Amino acid sequence: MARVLLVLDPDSRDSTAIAPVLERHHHTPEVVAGLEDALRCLAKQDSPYSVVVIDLSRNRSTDWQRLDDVLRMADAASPRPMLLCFSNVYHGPAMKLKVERLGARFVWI
Amino acid sequence: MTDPYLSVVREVDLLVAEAASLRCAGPHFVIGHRFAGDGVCAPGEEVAFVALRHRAREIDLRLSISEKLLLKALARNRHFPQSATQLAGYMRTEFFARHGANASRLTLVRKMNHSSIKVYVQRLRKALASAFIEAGLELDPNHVLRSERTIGPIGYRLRATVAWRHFDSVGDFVSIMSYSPR
Repeated sequence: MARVLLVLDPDSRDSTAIAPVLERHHHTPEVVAGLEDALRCLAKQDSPYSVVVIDLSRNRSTDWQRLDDVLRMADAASPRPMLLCFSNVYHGPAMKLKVERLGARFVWI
Repeated sequence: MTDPYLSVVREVDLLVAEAASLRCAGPHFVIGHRFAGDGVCAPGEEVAFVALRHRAREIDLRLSISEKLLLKALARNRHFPQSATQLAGYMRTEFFARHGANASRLTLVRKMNHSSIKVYVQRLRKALASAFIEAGLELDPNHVLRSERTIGPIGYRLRATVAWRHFDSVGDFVSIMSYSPR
């Protein structure tokens, strides 16, 4: 149904199970390890994604810096993919607010 | 149902549905009328604001009184394109002739002719573009406020869903009316 760029944390194996779940729901996930690889995928002109799903479970400052770059890259893409961040650790409401202020959606799992 | 990743899938489905809705029906606007009396959208009310609503956010469009009135006219007639002359004619109806009269502020009345409407359409598109950027929406204002050529002159058409919100003279909420796309 939708082509999804799934950006998983290279230091975490917790969220690898998400790709088969997306496939079962008729989406086409393309899994990359880390935001650096995500930037490379988004830079390709011939690979438009409907949604970019990003694992922010670790909540590291470097992830937030890279997330800014991903947002900029997504803004430049046409059609612009929509961004969804998730975390399997609860870091409080401030994290959700921060993500939503960036124009992305956020979900705890 | 116990799969923890279902919540992510549901959010992905929501984003896909949101994109499809924006593509098919256009964005959603709220038009606020102040000084509502017994009826709604009745002469004497004031078009107080026009806002883009996206993901529980309302972004006010930076519009002059004339631009707000024109957007209201386009929203009311959005099921078919209206030429500048038709819009100018519609804007001579009682609602526009008595705009804001419930507040005894007849200075809120604006008159427009077909050539000024063309200028206001361009300004509306600029205001829409600015609101779309603020909302993070990838929408072309020329596709939302479309110029459509039929047999005669160019017609303008708003491709959006609209809700009207009414407030009384002290600013209390009175009612909401929604119009879905046809």
